[in-house]
Amino acid sequence: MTRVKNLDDLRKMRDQLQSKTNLRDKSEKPEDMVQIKVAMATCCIASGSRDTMNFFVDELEKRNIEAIVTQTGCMGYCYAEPTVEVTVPEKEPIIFGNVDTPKADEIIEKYIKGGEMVDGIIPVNYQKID
Amino acid sequence: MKDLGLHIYDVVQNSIRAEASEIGISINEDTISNMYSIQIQDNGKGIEPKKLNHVTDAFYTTRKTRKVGLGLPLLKQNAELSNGQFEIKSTLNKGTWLTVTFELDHLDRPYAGDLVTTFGLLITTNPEININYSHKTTYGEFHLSTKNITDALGNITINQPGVITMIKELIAYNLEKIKAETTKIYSDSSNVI
Repeated sequence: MTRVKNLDDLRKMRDQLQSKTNLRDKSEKPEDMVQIKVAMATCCIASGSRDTMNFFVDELEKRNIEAIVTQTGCMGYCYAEPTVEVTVPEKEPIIFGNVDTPKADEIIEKYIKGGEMVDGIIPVNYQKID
Repeated sequence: MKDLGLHIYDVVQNSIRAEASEIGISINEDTISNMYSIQIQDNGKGIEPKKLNHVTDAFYTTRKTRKVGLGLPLLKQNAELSNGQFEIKSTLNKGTWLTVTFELDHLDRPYAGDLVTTFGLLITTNPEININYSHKTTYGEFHLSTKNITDALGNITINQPGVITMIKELIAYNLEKIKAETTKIYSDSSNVI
């Protein structure tokens, strides 16, 4: 595998990427994919959310999981940064707190792949009982 | 913030929130005048003059989710601790321009950090924004913009898996070439594609 050194190299890689794109197009609609939102405000970045996001981007690709990783603003859980919202298709979005790289690994392996719950969920929706 | 890469990432988030479509980031490592400078400019909605005086006040923020805004105050503090300067100018509806300088060999200057990840993520996760990155050292210059990449890629989108790794490789290779200060040189290309 040659290293991409400049834009010309990138241009040459197009064909390889193209075949990947086709695979993706055929697969599913965005809402059928795992969606991961990483909070990216000052509080989050200072706690290491850039590395968390980088880990998600790299690892999901390596482990062949179809996912969209995006960033969002401060969700207001500054005490539990880095926070990550994970939406697995046909499930409610779940926000995890204190997601460092080992935790992110656990989320990928247990929650995204296995559907198992993982510690560190921040409860968002309270339903009052009158 | 542990390093300058994180500061840059943070300031650019402000530009993104200001609905900028063009963001320019230039870094200059000048060994002759012993200065490390970062300049960030955007064409976002700008900051009102009244508010501009408060941006470096840690207890001022326009957000409603919390009561503090630490991004710019921390950057200013780090600059001043390392004999540098912090300057911000803004024109409403035109954009904001920020320059921050550090004494290059000052002991308290934060390390540049992982610029490869910073710019790799900034470019690939904000495909709708044209990010112009230039880095200058005594050994040379490196320029990269979202537009260059999208032109090279043709009909392939910038934020798809595989592309991210390549862009990071490209940045790493070029930063290495100009001997830019950055932590991690991205060499893990073993299981790409």
